[in-house]
Amino acid sequence: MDVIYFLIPLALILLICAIGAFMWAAKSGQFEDLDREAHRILFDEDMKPNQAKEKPDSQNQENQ
Amino acid sequence: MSENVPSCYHCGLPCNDSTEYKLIILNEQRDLCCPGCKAVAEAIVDAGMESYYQHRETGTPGSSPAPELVPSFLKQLSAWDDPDLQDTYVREEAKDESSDQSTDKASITLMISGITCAACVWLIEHQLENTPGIIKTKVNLSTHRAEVEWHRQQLQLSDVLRAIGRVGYKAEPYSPLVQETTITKENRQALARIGVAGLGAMQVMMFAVGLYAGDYQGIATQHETFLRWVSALVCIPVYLYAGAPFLKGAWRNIKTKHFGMDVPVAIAISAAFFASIWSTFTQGPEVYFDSVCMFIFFLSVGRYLEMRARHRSIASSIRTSQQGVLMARVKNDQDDEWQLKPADRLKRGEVVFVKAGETIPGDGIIETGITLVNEAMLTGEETPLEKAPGDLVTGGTVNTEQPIQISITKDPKDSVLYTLRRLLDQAQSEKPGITQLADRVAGYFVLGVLVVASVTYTSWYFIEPNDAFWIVLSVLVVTCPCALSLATPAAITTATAKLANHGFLPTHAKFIESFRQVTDVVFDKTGTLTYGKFSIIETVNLCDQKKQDLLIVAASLEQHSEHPIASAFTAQFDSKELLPVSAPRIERNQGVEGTVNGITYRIGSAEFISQMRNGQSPQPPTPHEQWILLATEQADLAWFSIADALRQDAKPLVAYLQNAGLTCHILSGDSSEHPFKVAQALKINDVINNASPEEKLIHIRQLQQQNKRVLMIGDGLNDAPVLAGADVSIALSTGTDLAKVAADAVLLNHQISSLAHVVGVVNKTYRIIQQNLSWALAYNLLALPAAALGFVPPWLAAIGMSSSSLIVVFNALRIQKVNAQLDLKAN
Repeated sequence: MDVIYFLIPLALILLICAIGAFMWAAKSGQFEDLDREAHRILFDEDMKPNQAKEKPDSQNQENQ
Repeated sequence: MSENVPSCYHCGLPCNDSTEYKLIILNEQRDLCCPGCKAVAEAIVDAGMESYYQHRETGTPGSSPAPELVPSFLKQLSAWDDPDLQDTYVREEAKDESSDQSTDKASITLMISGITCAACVWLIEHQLENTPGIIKTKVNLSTHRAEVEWHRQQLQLSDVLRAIGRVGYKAEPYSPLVQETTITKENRQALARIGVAGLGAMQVMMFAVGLYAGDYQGIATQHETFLRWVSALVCIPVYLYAGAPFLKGAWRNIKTKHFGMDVPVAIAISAAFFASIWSTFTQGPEVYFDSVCMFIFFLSVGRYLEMRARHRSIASSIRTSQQGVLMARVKNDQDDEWQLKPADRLKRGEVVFVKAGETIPGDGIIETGITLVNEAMLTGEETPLEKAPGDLVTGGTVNTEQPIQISITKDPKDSVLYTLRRLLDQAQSEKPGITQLADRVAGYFVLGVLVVASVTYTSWYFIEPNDAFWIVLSVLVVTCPCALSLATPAAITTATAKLANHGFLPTHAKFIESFRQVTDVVFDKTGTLTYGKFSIIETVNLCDQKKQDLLIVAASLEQHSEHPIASAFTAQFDSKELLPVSAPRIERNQGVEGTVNGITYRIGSAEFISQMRNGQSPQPPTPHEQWILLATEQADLAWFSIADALRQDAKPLVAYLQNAGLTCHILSGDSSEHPFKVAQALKINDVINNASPEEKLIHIRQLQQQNKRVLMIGDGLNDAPVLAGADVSIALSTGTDLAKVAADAVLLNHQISSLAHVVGVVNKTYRIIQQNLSWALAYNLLALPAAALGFVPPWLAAIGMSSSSLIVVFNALRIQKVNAQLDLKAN
């Protein structure tokens, strides 16, 4: 049973890592908008721009 | 309108059969209603973001973007490029250590209106990412805020706003309120505490399993000591960090000599913690580290859920009450140009230009222009008043007819609006407090536990002095009011979610308990019991033409008038149905003359008609109402009675409330007889008209002095102090910002009959809270004798505590099932 003298301190180190990771996630605002993340997967990120490249001129003119 | 009118693919509003605006979206030809929607849809399709249309919810983004896209709006955005204006909103990114382009980065928080679902968020983020010069964007779906970081040299602020405008949303710079910053901080801290408590509890439970198993099978002393020591090690941060809110709360309670739920919680966890530490040092019989961690974890989660429900409602009420920055057009001294400037930066002596339909930015005197000003938000009265040069106008009122120039006479700090705000703050600070049921129970509970603990200790001291301390400890652990203190938060969290589904947002944690004690309901009249706009109540036909034909003629004439009464006529018809009017002539505050189908008509006051015929003034059918006459030169055609009509659901609601034993009152700023008529129709006896905000507040105070609990429902600026002063208050979402800020709850849909749901949910919630409290108390009472007799080992205490807490939570979920439907037809 003496293995617990090695395994338990190891578990404690892992515990500290887990708490650290969780604190970092909470502090960097990752839990602030849960609704939005739930939907992110649905969107097709690859569909992007083919035409967007053609039109930047007209958009820039509007901006001026 | 026919039934299958095609609807606009982008905004969902009905559009013409033969709409000329068409676009291929998702491989199909789609009808669009207007150039605005077409421009937006084109921008979306061209940027390759069509999948927005696949994933958006309910198929409609809240409103048609068209009005926001008119050139004048986009032009106005350029005002934001003024560095002075940007001051408060734009944050310079600190000089980056590594990069060369040092001060070029800037970031800003934008408030975006029109966001309804995750698809909107995706669309905006993509639009911005495709705009060159933008470094980073993050749009938050629940707060409707966007964080944008961009290169200043490449892009102006107005370009950022315009890019968002191009896909159909309105963005405005926004500086977060103190309240919101606190919310974010509170939220993050609570999460961190839950993390520590949760992970810690898991570890300690594992060690505890070892210890419990050791109790049965036997365990080597050195192993047992080791397990106790590591449990203590993990438990220390949990107790000190995650348990801090309870310890602090209890300390506050003790200092104010007012025992809340925190006191018994703190006693239980502290006693268990320190005794276990003592036991670890001295090799005592028991340790309770697992119970301490679990208590703290369960309670933190309960508090967190309650806090989140509260934050959510605060955030939505902030969102509904933020109408953006009120801008003023100020004359520039150098070049006599009009320049935009936020209204709260106006100075005395500046000259401001206000277009028709705009809100007057500050208190001042009219210099040029005659117009009608709607002071409804100040007095509650909907009929606009005529204002000519030299007359005083008040900031926040609406200029309805002609453009005017105003010379500002008061700094924003001395304005009427600001004074009202101060009155509101004062009323809020004097708001009567309410003791929550759980807190009252807690007081007795603490007393009970302390008495039982000391009795147990003395009895065991005589029987078995060595065991006395450990038995008292198990009494304290078993009686930890975990279920008791979860009883209320669990119920309130569920109730808040349920109310939100009915379009009702409580912004105050104590809303449910205070609402239940209400004895008197006070309504504001305009906009609350009535629609707050004019409509035709009665028609007296004096000729043989059909009523509908007369109405069309009247509406055709009135479409040329800007007077608010005109909308009573024109609102009934589509603009296509109206007849062409030749030579329309408008007589200010009198009426309209014009020729329709070759016949010259006049519509307006009796005097206006009599001018046409030199002499005899026709008599209106009744003396008190406001009557409008439609006539030709030869004959009077019809009288129309115009008034602010009663809401459809007002009558059943008042009847429902009266049935439920509540006394209803009307407090109105309206100086006419109209409040009395409304009261008569609704069978309300207590009516006060022509009341100023101060008088309204005094009236509420009088009711409160008679030991009545007052619920106030209102919408106007003039109601704000009263809303703040009443025991509970509800503002309508159509109301003014100040009213919403002052109220304890906001009604988001426009049906005041939802109040019946609220009554149902509140009563059910209260019953559930009572059940939960009784169950939790019963559990504690049952466990107490067992613990006092020394029958409860630590593992049994942990199981009992968890299951009693879960039962309380599941019971609270039953609130979801309330169904209080107010039958509109029953009355």
